[in-house]
Amino acid sequence: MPNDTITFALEGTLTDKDLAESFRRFSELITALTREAGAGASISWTLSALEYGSAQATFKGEVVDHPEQIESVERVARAYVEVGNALQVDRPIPYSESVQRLARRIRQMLDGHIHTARFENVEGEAIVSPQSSTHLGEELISRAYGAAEGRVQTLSTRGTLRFILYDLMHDRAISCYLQEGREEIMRDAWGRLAIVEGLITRDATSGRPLTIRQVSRITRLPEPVGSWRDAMGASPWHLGRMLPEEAIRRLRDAD
Amino acid sequence: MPTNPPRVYWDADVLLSLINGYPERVPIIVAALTEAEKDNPPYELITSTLSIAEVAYAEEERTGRALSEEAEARIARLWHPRSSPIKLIEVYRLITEEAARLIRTLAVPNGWRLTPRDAIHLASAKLLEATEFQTYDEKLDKFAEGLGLDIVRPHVLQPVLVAPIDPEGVDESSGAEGSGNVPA
Repeated sequence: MPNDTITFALEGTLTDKDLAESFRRFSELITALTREAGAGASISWTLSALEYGSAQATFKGEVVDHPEQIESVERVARAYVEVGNALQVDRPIPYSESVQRLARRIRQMLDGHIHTARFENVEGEAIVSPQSSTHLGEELISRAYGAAEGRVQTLSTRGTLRFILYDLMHDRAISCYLQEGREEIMRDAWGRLAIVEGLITRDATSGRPLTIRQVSRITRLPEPVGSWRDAMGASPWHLGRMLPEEAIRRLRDAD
Repeated sequence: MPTNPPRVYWDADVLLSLINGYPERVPIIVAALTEAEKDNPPYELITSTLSIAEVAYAEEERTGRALSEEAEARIARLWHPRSSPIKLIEVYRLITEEAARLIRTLAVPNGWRLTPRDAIHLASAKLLEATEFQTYDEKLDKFAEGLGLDIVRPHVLQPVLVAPIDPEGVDESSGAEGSGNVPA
């Protein structure tokens, strides 16, 4: 799967001015990184997905007039997350003074209202908080195989293997990345409620899923017939029988 | 961005009380579910995916037989986002780590028993910053202070009237019972 998209996401309460300013700073950083890591290629970064309910935008890179030349785009996408990782743990940013300054300007946007910024590409992500995770003494991201439930959505049809799962619990977009050759598991999933399995990255504080990579399975939820009311009395209690809490307690105490 | 309503966590025994149609509890549980399915609900009801397995298993233990397909299908409507306002939280690594921490720091030093399943439910509520953990199991009450979480019986301002479920009218051998006596 080509590493040709970058996602910038902010968490917190944003005003219109915050949004405009943060994306301006993001854009300046990408311009500088394209110049340095893109080896002189003229790369155009086009908006490929914008998630409502989150300040999250994804851009797909293409070398102007030579879309087949993916290497320069991939170098910039990797450099972008590398910069995020350096900010995350307060490591020196391995690029020019100009890139370092622009990257720090993004961190300066993070205050009480905007909690974190996420730098994401197809391969990985970094979460930047006002203080580095070294200072916080804790990991900001947790990774494990698992599943998340939500609605499969995306605004991107630009040939990427990325899609969005709209998380029902947290009401936020989760970036999901299919592996190349696994496109068939997406069949009939668009717009449907589904459980997506894969390697899940979560915000280590809230537990909210951020990304799902190596998506291994997408199980569509069946269309429901009826309502929760049908469950009432589905297996009635009889006088003299074990109380519900006794039945559950017996099960748990048998552990 | 809109603010989410407060979260109320339901332990598996609350859901089992509904499935059993337990007479004194159903009016409260139904009222809570009815509130939660409104367009602007006053709270969100959440439970762990663990509850799905627990209510099925506990019910089979209680009755001594497997649930019928029909009863299982009716119960499944509690877990589907289109047919129920109950939101499910997966059991994931951060929750199991928090559960382990609760056992280590809260249960063991006090000489209290906290099984992994209990700990997973409590850790789920804590991680999701639930305002209340509702359960009928009084044995969990003692963990409230250490968790910083209210552990209470399900409650509503106004219970709804629900016609009693008649277990006598049920063919117990089928495992598919009751009409549900659905309130309007």
